[in-house]
Amino acid sequence: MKRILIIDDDQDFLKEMGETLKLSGYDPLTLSNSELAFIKVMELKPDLILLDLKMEGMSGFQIANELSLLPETKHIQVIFITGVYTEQMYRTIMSLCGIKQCLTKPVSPLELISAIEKTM
Amino acid sequence: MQPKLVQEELKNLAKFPLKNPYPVFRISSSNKILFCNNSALRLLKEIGAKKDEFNKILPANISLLVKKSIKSKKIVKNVEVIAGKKIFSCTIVPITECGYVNVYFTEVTNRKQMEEELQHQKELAQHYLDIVDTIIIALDRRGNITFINKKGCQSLGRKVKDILGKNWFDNFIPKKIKQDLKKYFAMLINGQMQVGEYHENIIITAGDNERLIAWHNAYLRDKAGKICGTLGSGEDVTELRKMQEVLRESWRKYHDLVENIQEGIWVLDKDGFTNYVNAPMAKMLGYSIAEMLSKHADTFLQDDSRAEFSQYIEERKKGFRVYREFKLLGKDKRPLFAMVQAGPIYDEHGGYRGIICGVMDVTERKYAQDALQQVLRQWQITFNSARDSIMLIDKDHKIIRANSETEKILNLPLEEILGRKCYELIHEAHDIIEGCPLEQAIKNKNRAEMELYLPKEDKYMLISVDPIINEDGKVLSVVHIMRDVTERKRAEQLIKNDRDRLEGVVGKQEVELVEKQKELEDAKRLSDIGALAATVAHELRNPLGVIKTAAYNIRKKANNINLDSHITNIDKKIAESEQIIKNLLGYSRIKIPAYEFVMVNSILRDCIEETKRKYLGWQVKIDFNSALEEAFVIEADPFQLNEVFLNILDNAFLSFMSKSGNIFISSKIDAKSNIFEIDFKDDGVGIAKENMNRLFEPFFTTRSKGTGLGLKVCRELIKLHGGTISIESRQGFGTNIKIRFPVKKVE
Repeated sequence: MKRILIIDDDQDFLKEMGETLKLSGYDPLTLSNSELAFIKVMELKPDLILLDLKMEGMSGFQIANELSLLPETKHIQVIFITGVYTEQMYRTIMSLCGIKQCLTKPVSPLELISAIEKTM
Repeated sequence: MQPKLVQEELKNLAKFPLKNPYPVFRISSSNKILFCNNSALRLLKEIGAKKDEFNKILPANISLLVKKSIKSKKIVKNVEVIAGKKIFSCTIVPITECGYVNVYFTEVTNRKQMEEELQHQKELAQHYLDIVDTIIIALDRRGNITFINKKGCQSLGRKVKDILGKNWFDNFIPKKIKQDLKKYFAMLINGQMQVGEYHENIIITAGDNERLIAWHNAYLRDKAGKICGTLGSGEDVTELRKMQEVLRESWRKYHDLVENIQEGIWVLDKDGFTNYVNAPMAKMLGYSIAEMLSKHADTFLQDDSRAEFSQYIEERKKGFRVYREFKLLGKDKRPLFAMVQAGPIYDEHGGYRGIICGVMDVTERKYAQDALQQVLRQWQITFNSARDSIMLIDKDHKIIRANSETEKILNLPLEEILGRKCYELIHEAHDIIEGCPLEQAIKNKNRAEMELYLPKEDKYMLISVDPIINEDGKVLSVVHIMRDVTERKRAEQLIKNDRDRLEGVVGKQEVELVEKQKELEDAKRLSDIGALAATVAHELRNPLGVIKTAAYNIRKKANNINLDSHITNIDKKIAESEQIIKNLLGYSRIKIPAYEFVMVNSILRDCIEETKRKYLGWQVKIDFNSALEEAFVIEADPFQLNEVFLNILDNAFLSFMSKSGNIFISSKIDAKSNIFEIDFKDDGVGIAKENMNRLFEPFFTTRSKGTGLGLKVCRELIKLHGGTISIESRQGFGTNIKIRFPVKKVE
């Protein structure tokens, strides 16, 4: 079972999304405190991360950037989800942080699962 | 001869000094030579006289003298006799008992010559003493005058005879100092004091005038070396002393001036070395006077002032009388600004000897001036930067000051403005105009305004006059501001004209104008709403996302057909909400396109697919025909294009009331104008005629759900790309939307 870590500061979103992934046959893990993201990733070694960009504490940009720098974590696939950074002005910074795939909230569950399948 | 007589004779002869080396004669009372010695005979022989020619040697008045001697029985001395080349002094000695005399000759030829020589010398000395320009006066021990020369007589204004023998102190010394001088003289004569080298005292001349004489005194001594008087040489120094006093006075004045003056005085010799400085000058530079002397001027000048200073000195030699400012150098190397005025100094032959400089420390003044000038300059700049004409005018309408803009407005140089009357320049009048705002401002002590048309320049001016009032409430002058309001006036006029014309002919333009105004108002309102909407929309996405996922989970878990329709409704409403958010964001996102090379057909195809997914289950047939290859590229913002296409497709879908219909899409390029063209055609409900004009009005919508922003956003984005959008529609038949883009980016 593929292990997927969802990082988002919205607890309700985590719960529902976790449920969706479980129903689709994945092993979902959730984390609402972005400050702990780094430790959790090292500890849990997920196969894929669903990462919210705008969060309190550390932003998704920062987390992605740090993970991409470490040999232990740089191979982990990340799918970004955002409700805010949809504008073209963020495109440059996204590409700088190595963000290839970004879904816009509200994400349709089917769309998400198809993205996960495509990525893995 | 009788024996008695002979005896007598012998006796007398015995008394005759036969052996006397000088001639001796015995002469009777009857003037006969009775006897003479050998020396006498030799004398006679020498002068070639016979024995009986003795008359030749005896004095002419001998008989008289002999008689006198016999009668008085006294010796007559010093009777002078010249015999030949010899001179004799004769002494007649009476032999009383015999009634004759012996005449003794003593040769005095040498003595006589010496005496004559002496006399001559004496006269010469007297002459010398007379011609010298000094008073020579000799006093004896009692202070009586024994000698005085001609100059002395002149000085005293008396003749020699009136002076000689008189007491010096009693007759020629003023009473007030007489006693003191007498005491002093007595001490001198008694040797109790040394003769002073020099002393001065006042004397009285004829007419009781007083003169001041400077004396050099010396002792007169007799043969024994005893002091027998004094010899004084005196000089009349009355005029000299007066002159000296005048000189001293002027020196004192000069000294007071130079030393007490606050200004520095600096004297340089002809080579530029310091000859003299006064205390303030030394203090100014922080030196002592001694430190400055003999130093070259350059020592006390800053590098950049040296050349200028020597040039200034050269100019001053030629006589240009100007103050000039120089940078001096203090001892502690601190810079000083000094005002210098120099004047050349010449010797009596007119040769240049050097220069005297008056030096004033103006450093503080200079700094203060600089600061003041800075402030003034700033004010001047401010004053001149004003876009309005600003003038300071006095109560008599005379222009005191004016800024640059005034020159422009009046089209006159500043010097032709200042001093003129304001009504002459502004109104071209010869007297104060009627309703003059300046008069009103002075009268009411308050701002007065006036509007003015200048026909020559074809300009409208708004004049405002503010009085400047002093503490006593009196108006001193006024500030006259003239503002060019031509543009505003024109605009007002234009609007007025337009309105007049529109009112007169058709209301069409007015309507447009009103519409435009309304549009503008809307735009303002919308930009505010847009900002708010963007924030709200972003925030709504998160909860919407959770709802969406939750609905999905319910459907999966429940697997209950009874719940299905409800969940479908939730999904539908979520989709609608998403569209609202998108439209709101799209509206707020209308900004300059970020151009990229995009494959426009491909984007369009993606949009078609997305829309189809959105309206899953609808029976809509989409026919996309393109005259272009798939990889055809244009310059545009892909996101904005995406937005436009999705909106148009959405509208088309929503026009199918029965959820079924046809959409025809075609794209092509107009090679001539290089314009890319897309045509969307649907056979939906179409648009009512009365609504055609309002399609691009923000928030206009005929649908119950919808923001009324979709087409508005489309048009704005296309406009930003330099393109156009046009809509044709017939109600009940469908709608045709044409979009035209330039292929290349429009600058």
